[in-house]
Amino acid sequence: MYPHERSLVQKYQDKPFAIVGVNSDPTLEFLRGVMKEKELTWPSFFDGGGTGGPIATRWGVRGWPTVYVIDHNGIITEGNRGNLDEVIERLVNEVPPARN
Amino acid sequence: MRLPTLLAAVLVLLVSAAVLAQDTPADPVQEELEALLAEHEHSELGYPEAYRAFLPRFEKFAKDHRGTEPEVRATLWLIQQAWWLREGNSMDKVNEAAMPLAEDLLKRHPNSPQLDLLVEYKYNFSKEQRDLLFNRLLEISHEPRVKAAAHFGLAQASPARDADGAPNPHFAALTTEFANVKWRETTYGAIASAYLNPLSPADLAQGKPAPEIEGIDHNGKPMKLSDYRGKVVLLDFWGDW
Repeated sequence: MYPHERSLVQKYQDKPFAIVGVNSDPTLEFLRGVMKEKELTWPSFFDGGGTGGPIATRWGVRGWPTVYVIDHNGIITEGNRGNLDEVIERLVNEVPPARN
Repeated sequence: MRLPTLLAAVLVLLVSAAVLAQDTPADPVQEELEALLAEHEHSELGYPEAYRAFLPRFEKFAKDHRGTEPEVRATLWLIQQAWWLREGNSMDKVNEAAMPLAEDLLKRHPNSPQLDLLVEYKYNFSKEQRDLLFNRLLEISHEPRVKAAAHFGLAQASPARDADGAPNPHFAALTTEFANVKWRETTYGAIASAYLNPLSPADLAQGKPAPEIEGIDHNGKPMKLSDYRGKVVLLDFWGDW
């Protein structure tokens, strides 16, 4: 998964796109270690130190990774995989240009 | 400051450092156990093979150090690893091996702070065994973390809320008396609240507003999902495994 995510971050670095993780590793230290080692540049929520953490529990996540695509208005668009890349491409292009 | 006073101060510092160091001596038995656990964890043997290879060593350790906290941990390893005794879908052998070990621990170490692991290893006990063990833990343990774990084990065994929407008594205890007891890096209160307020598949369907997430990042700094409004977000539940 990491190489794919890295390529998405790179492809959309100047676009309104973000990866937000919810991480279920055992400790904050462990998470920091993985981020450094795997050169992950996007942010993650730390979910309390295991797969039974509060965020994953509330969202009913039972398999990892599980992904959701959320549009720029905060609306859930795609529940899972499939044509993830196409969906992201379409949604990113739908975001109106920022008004300064 | 006069020189003798300074010397005296330095002396006091040195003595207190020595006393402090003496207060927390390295426990060789604990160290031996940690080495054994690490050796098993990093063993290159496959899983059932590693269990078979390490079983006699953990049994011997438990026997040699009977009555100590490291013995409790070694016995908990035996309980956890009994998983490898399963035959096809049958857990009978696992249940038969795990339960007497657990009952023995409860009898001899009723207040061990490590007994919360019995709840972590609950998959090795039958439903009836869990009910018995966790209720017994609630009765005998004085350790908040063990009692909270027992409540959590029992809470998960029945619906989170009754027909009137009231939390089951164990989740109720976890959101009140035990709300601040730690589970790993979070609290039982936060976890119980997630079980009591789950999002339904309809809440997470296409076209629905993404529910807010408030939490901390890898540096412990607060962050919110809504901080990313205005961007397309790939929300990724992940772990490095």
